[in-house]
Amino acid sequence: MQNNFFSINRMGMYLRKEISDNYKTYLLSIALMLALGVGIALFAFANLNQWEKEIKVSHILPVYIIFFTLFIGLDASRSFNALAKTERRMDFFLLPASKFEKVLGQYLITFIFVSVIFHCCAWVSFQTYQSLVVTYKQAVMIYDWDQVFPPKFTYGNYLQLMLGLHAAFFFGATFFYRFSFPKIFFCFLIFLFGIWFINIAITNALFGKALHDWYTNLPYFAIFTGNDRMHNFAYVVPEWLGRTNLFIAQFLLIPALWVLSYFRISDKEIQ
Amino acid sequence: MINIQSLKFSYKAGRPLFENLHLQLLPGHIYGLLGKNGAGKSTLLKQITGLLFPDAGKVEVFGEVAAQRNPSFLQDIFLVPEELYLPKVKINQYLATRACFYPKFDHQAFESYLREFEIPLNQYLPEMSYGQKKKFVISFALAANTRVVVMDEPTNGLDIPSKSTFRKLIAGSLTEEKCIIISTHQVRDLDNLIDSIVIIDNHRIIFREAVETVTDKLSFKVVPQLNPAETVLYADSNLRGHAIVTPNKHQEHSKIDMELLFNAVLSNRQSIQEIFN
Repeated sequence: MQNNFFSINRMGMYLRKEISDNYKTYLLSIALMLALGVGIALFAFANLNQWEKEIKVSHILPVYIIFFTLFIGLDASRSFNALAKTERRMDFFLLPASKFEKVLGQYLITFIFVSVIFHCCAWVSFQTYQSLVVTYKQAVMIYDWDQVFPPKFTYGNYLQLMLGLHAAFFFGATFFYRFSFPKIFFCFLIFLFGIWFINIAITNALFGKALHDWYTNLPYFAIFTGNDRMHNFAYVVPEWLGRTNLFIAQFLLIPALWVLSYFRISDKEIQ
Repeated sequence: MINIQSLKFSYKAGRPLFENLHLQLLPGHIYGLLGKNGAGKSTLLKQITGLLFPDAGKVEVFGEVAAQRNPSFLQDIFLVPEELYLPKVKINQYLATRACFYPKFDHQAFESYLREFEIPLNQYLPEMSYGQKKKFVISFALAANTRVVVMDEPTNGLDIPSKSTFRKLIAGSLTEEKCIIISTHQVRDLDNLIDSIVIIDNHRIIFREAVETVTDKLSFKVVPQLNPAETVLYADSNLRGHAIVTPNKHQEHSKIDMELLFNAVLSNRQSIQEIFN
């Protein structure tokens, strides 16, 4: 009896097919990532103040964070661009692999594969920059990671955030196949603003003029009241509720988006 | 093998394409699916291959629900669509990554089909013409050895020698356990190939007969002048005279003319039904 949900052999064949079909695009993306990373390293080196002898890693990390976030969002939004054309859609759905394998395959490529490649490129870029500044400027690197990732927001938390961002764009990719990145980004903003506006309506109805300002609230977290410095007050959710909200965001929301993405792909038809 | 029961389907609410459609297709046959533009031929093929889901009723292929698109179902059915997608790779690379999904794939047969169609094995797929792509996909579909092969307008884009090669290959690949469904408007290309005819019109199957039965019950001939005493189900005038379809009362042997039959079924449905019932 054949397993119609998951087979490691079929999964391997699917990944092999995907990589073989798109290897030129992948090679181009890797080259772009590497060129961008090394280019930034060279640009930073060229613009380095000659008196600067201590280079702090915390000054480099924001560039890493921005580009990693960008690449994760970009690649996740392209997860299902094969569905943009009817012929490719047919090819995607008629390939004898299970729906789960197809969705998981896209996930592995756009998150795991992209993350690994990005970090390799980032490492090469960092090593290039470090070699240049140490050799030609006689500078030293200061590894002050904790400035960017303090104990309350660790690198693990940041990766979790990226996982969430990927899940949101992955889910969005099941709706939009062309120009998906700007479309998903726009919808994501609308969704976030929507939550905030609903919260504004509720807080204004409940607190009225007692609010510090009509918009002063953080959905699921706090409401700020009081119009002068003496009487400012923040209603913060109790710790147990805050932790519950955090748990939902960390461990339920992301898998929920994966499951929804899976079912959206499973239910797709070809008109 | 293919069992469609009470199929209901519509693209838009209130405008049904299929209403209570029933169809059973058996292995060992080559079915020709005929119908006017917009009758729903491609939609029916998509229902059979699981690309569209029924609004009501069921579509089962070798006992599996087509809409579930399970790997066990997909590895035993192959669709040659009218518009093709092929990745930007060479034939051997395509073969290396796709053939493994079809357990009964016959590499030797694939190579011989390509040779018949005069396509080199190391050809780069995007550099092929539309006709060559079609021949490549047809070769792959037949070599995949799936129990069901579904083809939507397979002869579109094929040159004249390739059409005859196509007929030869299809006829040669048919086995007792294989079912081939060909949807086409180019009926003359497949006159000698199809052994069963399915005509779809007005939301349902209006005609489903074996070619043998059709030639037993109907006579296809060209006459210089129409005889008012003779029952003519359909007549088509051309330079050679009048091509006509008549009831085969005297057990005459004639060669089926699909185009004529199709027009006769659409224009004289009642009489045709009476003859076949």
